[in-house]
Formats: sequence, structure tokens, C-alpha cells
Amino acid sequence: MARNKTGTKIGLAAATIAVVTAWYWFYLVDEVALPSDRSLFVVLFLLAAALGVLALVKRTSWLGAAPALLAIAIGLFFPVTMSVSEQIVARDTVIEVGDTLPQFTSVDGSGNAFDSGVLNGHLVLIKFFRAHW
Amino acid sequence: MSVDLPEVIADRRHLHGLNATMLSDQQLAVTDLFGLRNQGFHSAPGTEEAAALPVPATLLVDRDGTVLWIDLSENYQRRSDPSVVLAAMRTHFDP
Repeated sequence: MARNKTGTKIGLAAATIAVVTAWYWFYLVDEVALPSDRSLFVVLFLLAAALGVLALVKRTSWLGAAPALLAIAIGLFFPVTMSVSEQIVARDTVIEVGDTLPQFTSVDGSGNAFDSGVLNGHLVLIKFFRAHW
Repeated sequence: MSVDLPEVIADRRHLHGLNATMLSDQQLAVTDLFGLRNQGFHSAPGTEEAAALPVPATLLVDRDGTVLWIDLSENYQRRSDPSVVLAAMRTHFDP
């Protein structure tokens, strides 16, 4: 019984670390303030995952197992996304300062055709982003 | 410019109160014209149909069509701070 209680406490602690760290992560993303050095996040997420595993090893009731599994899932998910988040462009073809804006056509959110010729004579900010998610 | 389909743009833009022209480039034709296709890992939700994604980037272009300033995200989890973009606009658009 004592082992179960210990495992439950560890599981709850693991979930707390994982959820609070994830919440702070999304807060910084929203503020466009995520630091370039995210090693502290990696440490905290992996700590949460490790504590989640430890809780299961110590054995726990579902009260501790569910948070432990949550901590493991969150604690591993974020480091994985960090490891694949580097962006790479083909250096020989990427547009550079001093280049002339390529002429292009596209379609807007209303389905209307767009021709970049309408940008001629204007100061323009163009932003490429991945998608709405 | 993003890989969102026009109907997704129409559905989502109000969430962010965006007034700028938003264009769809799911086939990455424009992205490739700019050389901005991400050559790294294609990390997108399983529901995303685009074969690849653009590298998040911001460009400032003058009236003659010359590119004045570019910011490329080396990591999609880190974007241009709006203050950096605003500072660049003040420098290049309002010298």
C-alpha cells in the first residue's frame, strides 16, 4: 500500500511538471518569445517522462498511473518535436537580399486569382508561414 | 502565403483578425519560386496534405520589386519577433 502511495505521488508530480512546462512553452510561443536555447525545456520534459516511468515502476493505482502516462506522453512528445524542428533551405536557390521579387500568381482565401503584378510600385511585406495549425 | 487551402484561409483568418491578403500555395509553386521549401524533416499533422512546407520567412520589398530584407526561421518553433520585423520596416521602408 505504501508503495502504491509513493507511486501515485510521483505520478502526480510528473504530470504537474509536464503540464506546467507545456503550458509555459505555449505561453512563450504565443508571445513569440521561445528562446533559442531550449535545453531547460528538454530537461524538464525528460524529467517528467522519467518520473512517469518511475511512478509506474513503483506501482500505483489508476490515480497515479493516468498522470504518469500523461507525463510520459507529454515529456517525450516535445523533445521529439524539438529534434525535428530545424528548417533547411536550398542555399543555391533561396531568394536573397538584392534579388528581384519573382512574378507569381496564386489564389486568395475567397478563391480569387492573385497576380503579383499588383504589388509593383508598392512597399510590400510578404510572409511565408507553414499553415494555420 | 501558406499551404492552407483557400477555404481554410477563409475559415481561419478571422480568428487572428488578419486584414492582409492571404494566399494559398498548397502545391508550393510560389514557395519554390522563392526557394523557401523546407528541405528538413516534414513535421506536419497527419491531416496535412501538402507534400512539404515552406520555411517560415518574412520579406520586405521596395517599390521597384527589390528585396530589401529577409528573415528566415532556422527553427519553425521560433519565429520573427514582431519587434524585429517592425524595426526592419522602419529601417527599410521609412529611412
